[in-house]
Amino acid sequence: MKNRFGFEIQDNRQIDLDLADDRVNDEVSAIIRAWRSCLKCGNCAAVCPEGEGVYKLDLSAFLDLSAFQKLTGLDKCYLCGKCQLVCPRGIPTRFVIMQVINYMKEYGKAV
Amino acid sequence: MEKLFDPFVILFTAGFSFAAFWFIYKVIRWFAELPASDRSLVLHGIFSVKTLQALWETVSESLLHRNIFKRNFRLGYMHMSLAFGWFMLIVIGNIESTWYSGSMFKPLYVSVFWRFFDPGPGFPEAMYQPGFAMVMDFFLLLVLSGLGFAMIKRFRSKVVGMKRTTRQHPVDRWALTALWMIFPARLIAESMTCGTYGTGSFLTGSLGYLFAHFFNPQPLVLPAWWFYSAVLCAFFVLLPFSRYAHIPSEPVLIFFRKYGVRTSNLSTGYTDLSLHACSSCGVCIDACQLSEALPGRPLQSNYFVKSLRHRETPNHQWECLLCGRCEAACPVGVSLMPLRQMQRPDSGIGLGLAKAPHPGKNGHRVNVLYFAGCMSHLTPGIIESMKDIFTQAGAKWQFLDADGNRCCGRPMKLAGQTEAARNVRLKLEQDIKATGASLLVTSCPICYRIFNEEYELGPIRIVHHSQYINELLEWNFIRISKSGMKAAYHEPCELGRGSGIRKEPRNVISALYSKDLTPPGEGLCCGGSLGGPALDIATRKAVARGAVSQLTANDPDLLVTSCPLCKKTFRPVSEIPVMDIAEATASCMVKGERLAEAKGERREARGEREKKEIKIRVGS
Repeated sequence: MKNRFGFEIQDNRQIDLDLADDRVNDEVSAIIRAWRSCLKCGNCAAVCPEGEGVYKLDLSAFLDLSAFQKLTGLDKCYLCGKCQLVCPRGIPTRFVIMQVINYMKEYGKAV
Repeated sequence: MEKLFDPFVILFTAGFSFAAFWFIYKVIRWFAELPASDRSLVLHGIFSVKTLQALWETVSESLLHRNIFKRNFRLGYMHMSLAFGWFMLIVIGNIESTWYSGSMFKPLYVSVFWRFFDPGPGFPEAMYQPGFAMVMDFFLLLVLSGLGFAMIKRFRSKVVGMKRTTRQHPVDRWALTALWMIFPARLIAESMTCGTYGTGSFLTGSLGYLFAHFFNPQPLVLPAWWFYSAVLCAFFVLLPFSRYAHIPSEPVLIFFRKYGVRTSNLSTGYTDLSLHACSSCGVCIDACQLSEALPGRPLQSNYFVKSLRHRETPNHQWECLLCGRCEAACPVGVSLMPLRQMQRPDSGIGLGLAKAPHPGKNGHRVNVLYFAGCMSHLTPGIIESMKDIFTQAGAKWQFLDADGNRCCGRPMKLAGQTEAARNVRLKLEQDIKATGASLLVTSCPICYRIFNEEYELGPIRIVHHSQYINELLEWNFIRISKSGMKAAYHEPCELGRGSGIRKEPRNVISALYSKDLTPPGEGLCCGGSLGGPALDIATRKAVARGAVSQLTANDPDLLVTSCPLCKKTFRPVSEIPVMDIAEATASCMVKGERLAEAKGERREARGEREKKEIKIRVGS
């Protein structure tokens, strides 16, 4: 059912905080503070030569480790840095990807 | 002659033996840990003219410090006086002691403490003695004057032309204290002896005379020599663990380098040798633009080398932009970029990329293959200009990465992902070969460097677009109407320092513009480099602003660069327009007429050009 702004509101808007595991997110944002300032503007996705990669690090990944694990596109990253050049928040996206992959490896076994 | 021994010499002998044995052990290990090919290079080089060249380089660099003299006279004098003065004290002390003791073979301490054993007259050849004493005093004065500069440098480094000086590791501080005390201790000990016997020259003699005027120096002679021996002992014991290990290591590095040993991707004996040869002089600190942009952060190469030497994990290594300015400035010539590259671990990024080659568009045979590179796709102006230039020059060309999705692999390599970079390289290599082109033009210095260094493309000649444009101008394939503007050229790190292409872009600039206002000196870093992924945008902009203000010092009308990444980094912070060299050429190029009147000339030129190309191919 659409509201008066034309958006649809879904019935279930719950986030299961019992499943939340933000260790990767915490580690990454401790090193790269700008990481939390992502606007999800999509510029990075627009220039990504592989068509996958950094833009998949969406909001759900902030809370849930399993969301990181679903990011299959990350290992296809060229590390070319084009996303970094177009990022309006100046996030060092290459370093974010490198760090996420490192911490995924570290925590991957624990989960 | 009475016996040439006193118990105080034991301290010096013990300390010196320790350092000497450590050094011999290290040289053997450095040699043994070289790869077999490098070992044979060294063994074949020893009995060749290279040994003499290395000997000369050792004298001019390790003793006279020519490279530092070129940088700053006072800094050069400081290093030269300490190294050369000390060396001459040892050599002349040895000659003097051999002359008077009449024996070539004597314990080492005899020449070091010769003034104690032979204070002055009383020997038949006494007439030579004042001469020796004067020469020895002169070199001691030289060393002491250098020491004075070294002390001033600690507190006011600007006096010797350095904005910043190295922050010391604790071991280095102890060794530095010992080193600083050696020469005053020697002066006092010799003066005490000379004052007692009324000998010595202008320095030790006068000071000894002054001592004798106020008190009887004789009881203090022995304590003074004990102190001198103890300070020497302390210095030699600390030497292997401190930065002063560079004193014996640097000549070894020079010899190995002359024989053709280079820093490779793997950690070898040469790597360890390079770490020991760094004198931590701090020249790299001023060369690093991050010293301005991130003051107080110890990320410069001397700190990096030091942490590797002390087997610590280097901090801040992901902040280094790998621009190579420290390596270019290093007076010792340590290969810092490969050392830094080696420390970046491969974490397996990019291994998921498909390995199958891109289907080649080999419908028609072309001569020229254009590879814009991913960065140029963010500055389409460069691509459009290159298209114009190709058309105007009448080249048969093909655009390899028209879809923009090709990677050369160097960004991965800079991030340590060597395995993925290799996969990408193999894939692109196949695609390039499939086109059957004879010339590969790229617009991106980053791509150019890896094409040049790692790709195995057989007979295909690889050029950067600035070289290509330079050749087109040289052979009259395009014509320019000279602009009246004044330009300054920014040399990209990967093209200038990284690949040695410095002349060609400058030729193009002087052909296009009435005046080339490029400031002299080593090329700067734009701050956009892919080398430092951890740097935030504010620091990058600070580096870029610093670079632009240095480049525009002569007040040019526009800034020309030959790298899409530099162009993008400069554009937001520069007040004057920033252009790529291709855009600059396209804007000054006379279009349309296809140089019809020069057709004959062109045909001739093309013939010669082909000859030249063949020559280059056969040569390579």
